[in-house]
Amino acid sequence: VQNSFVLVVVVLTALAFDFTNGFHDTANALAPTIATGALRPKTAVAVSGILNLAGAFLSLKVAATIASSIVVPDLVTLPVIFGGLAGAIVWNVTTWFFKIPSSSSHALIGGVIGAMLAHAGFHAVLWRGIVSSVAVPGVSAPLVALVVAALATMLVRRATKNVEPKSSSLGMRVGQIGSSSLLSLAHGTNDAQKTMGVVTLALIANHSISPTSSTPTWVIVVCAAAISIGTFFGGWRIIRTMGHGVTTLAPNQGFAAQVASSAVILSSSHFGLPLSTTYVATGSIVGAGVAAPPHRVRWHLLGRVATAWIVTLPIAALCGAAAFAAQSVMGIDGGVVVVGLVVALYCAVIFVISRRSAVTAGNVNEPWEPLAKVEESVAMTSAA
Amino acid sequence: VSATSLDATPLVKWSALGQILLFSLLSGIGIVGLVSLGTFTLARARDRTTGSMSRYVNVVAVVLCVAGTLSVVGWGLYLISHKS
Repeated sequence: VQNSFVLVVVVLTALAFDFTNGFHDTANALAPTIATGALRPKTAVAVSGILNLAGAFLSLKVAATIASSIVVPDLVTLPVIFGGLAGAIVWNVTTWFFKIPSSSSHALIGGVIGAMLAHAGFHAVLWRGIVSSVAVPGVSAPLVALVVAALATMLVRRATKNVEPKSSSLGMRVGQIGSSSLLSLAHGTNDAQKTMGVVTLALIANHSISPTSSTPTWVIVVCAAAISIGTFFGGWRIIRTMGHGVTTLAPNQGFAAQVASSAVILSSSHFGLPLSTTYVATGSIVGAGVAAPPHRVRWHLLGRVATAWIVTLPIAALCGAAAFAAQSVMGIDGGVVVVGLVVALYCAVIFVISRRSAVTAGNVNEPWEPLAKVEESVAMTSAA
Repeated sequence: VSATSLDATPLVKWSALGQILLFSLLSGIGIVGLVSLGTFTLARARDRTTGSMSRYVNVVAVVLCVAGTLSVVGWGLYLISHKS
């Protein structure tokens, strides 16, 4: 049964998700670059936004839709896609509010699983696919990135030991800008296409296009624009956590972390096991942090981040299931509108509350409490 | 992708993970090594106390490092635009 009205609402919801995906992931490509001052915050997000846009057009081979490996494709309906997107948006906005880097892809997968469970039950979900495309990459991505970034940090520190910081800063800056740019391009290619895939799936589910047809050009254009605008909006809250919260990065550490992230992301996408950018970027920053003096990262903060990673899928699934159930109770046309408005209202409220402790381009680089604070206070007490 | 075809695929693609680790290490360490070496030689090339021949060698080394880095970046761009 075709339903153009619901299709329009689903496409708008998909673009809203794409937008949250953009600002949520800005930190992955830019946090070290901004934190070490290689680029000014606003310049960085502008460059990254443009490169995300370019990246979305770079490879026109839209990846197999994210949904096809986690749920039975034939059972996908418009309300399932809508519920999945709504759940993912709610979780993305919530984690952004709490300044936590979390995977937008996993939020979307969770949302779709939840909506599908509510729609068709247990058998409609491909559990093996979830383990191999969510759990395995989720655990391995940060570890691989950590190892590469730690070794890279040791190498760059050793190699530039006798070079004055003033002379080495150019190389570190250019290196960070270059790797940020590559990451932004890759993000545009991978993540914008994720939404393109979802919109295409919605068009197929609505029988607006045939299952074999390729993604319409307008879908590519609007998805590319949405993720680019989201990136330009700047997820300052998450950039602050990753750039300053996890550890304090010197330019050479930032450089090593950025290169490690690019290397892992590009290799993983090349070998057909795409690793989540968020996990890779976080792992790289931790690796760069532990490999250089004072060899410290804020484990309590990382504990919160890891907890968020673990609950991303179940909570997004709950939200997705709730969104699906609510719209099905109210009837499809009214249901998607009401649920859509509730999600929009939730986002607006979160945004207004976030203004009280707003993180902006102006204060994103303010110093975090010093890493060695605990030791200092211990030393002071023992001295007294 | 049907449920049955998924059942046939292993839960953990160890070979893909291994390749990712190997390639990330090679390319990541390679780039960092090239940029570090370029930075080091650039500093020496700028050093006025170094002899002119040695400075010439250093400038060549800087150019080679930059060229090497750019070629790895070009390879990265190729991977992005021809992703599997």
